[in-house]
Amino acid sequence: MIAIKEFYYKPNLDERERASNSYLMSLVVIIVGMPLPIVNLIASGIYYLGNTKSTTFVRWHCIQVMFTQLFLFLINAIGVTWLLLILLGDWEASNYFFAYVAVLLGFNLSELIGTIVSAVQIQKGLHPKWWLFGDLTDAVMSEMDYE
Amino acid sequence: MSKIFLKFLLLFGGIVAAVLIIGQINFQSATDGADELIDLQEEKLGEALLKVFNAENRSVTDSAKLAPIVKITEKICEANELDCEGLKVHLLDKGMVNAFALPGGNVVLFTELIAVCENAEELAGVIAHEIAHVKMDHIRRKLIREVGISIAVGIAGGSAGGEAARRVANILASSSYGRQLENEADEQAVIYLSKAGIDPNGLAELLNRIAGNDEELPAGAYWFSSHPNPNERVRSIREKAWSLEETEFEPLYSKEEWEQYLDKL
Repeated sequence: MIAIKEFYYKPNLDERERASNSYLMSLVVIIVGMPLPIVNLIASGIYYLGNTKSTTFVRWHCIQVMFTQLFLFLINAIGVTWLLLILLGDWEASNYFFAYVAVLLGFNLSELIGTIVSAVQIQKGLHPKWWLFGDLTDAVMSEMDYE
Repeated sequence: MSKIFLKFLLLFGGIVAAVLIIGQINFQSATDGADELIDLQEEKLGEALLKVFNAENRSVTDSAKLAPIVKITEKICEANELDCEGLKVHLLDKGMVNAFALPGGNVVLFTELIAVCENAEELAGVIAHEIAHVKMDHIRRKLIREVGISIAVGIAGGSAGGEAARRVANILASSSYGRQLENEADEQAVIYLSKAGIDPNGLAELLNRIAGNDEELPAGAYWFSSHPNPNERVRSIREKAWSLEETEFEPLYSKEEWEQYLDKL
């Protein structure tokens, strides 16, 4: 679900490094972020804020990472809330709960693989564009000051 | 923008469809099966451990001697809608003040413990406390903590030797479940007794006598040494009993009836 394309200009080595780091950032905090998924989202947000003055290529990828982390945060938060309602409330651990956990794990695993693939491709100067999140990033970037 | 919106719908629809489809798998039946397997293993383990005690002590089968135990157990089970068939209370003729629960729904009482009970309510307190350990799955937790699941499974399957069974039997008969589980069992016992119309203060009275180091109590009162912090527990049992609606109870046996029973024992 990741289309590997070429950006409209050739990013230099420093840009590739910074853009690739935005993905690695979400990997570095993954251990902390597992029980608290919001940590990953905050980390990618802070990284973006540190790169607001950076080039389009770097900002584009920072925003794409934020969208993927926001999606994961939401899907994991639903799972954690459901689990707490079972453990502390009177909700039943139904088959649908286990099915949701399976879907949640699938998304988390796909995101992990996608993050590694993207970081590697960016180092090569390519432009990995995720399904849906790439389109969302394009839409946001078009509203911003495109270099 | 319409392309993004369509992709959003597709993603949301995909998640819902995946959960609905995968949700058709009966995950719960898989865990039920595992529970049944564990129950079966526990039943076998309970039988193996009972053999250890039966080999060393005489099992009491006289219905007159068993009568109060049967009466108390049935009253507790019926009032609390507990599975009485899965619960087996055994009386062993042994000069040691002890009572304990074994895997597989077995509760073992020693005759000496009954002999130190001043009334049937005190005995009911001990029985209710041990039933609570059984029903609250405390034995499984104690086994895992003190013995390790592999040895327990080995004894249940017959692959572990008789010495291992004796060691595990000794641990279950003489060691505490820990403060938290003992308090949980006390609290549950008070509820069981109260619902059954039996005065729950009997358990507190028995523990109180122990806390006061009653000189008439024989040496080797194992049930008490394996149930620590009696003073604190007496207080919480009384508080719990006080908080319940039921505060007046008919005695199970008159003083004369109980003394006659103890004489026969």
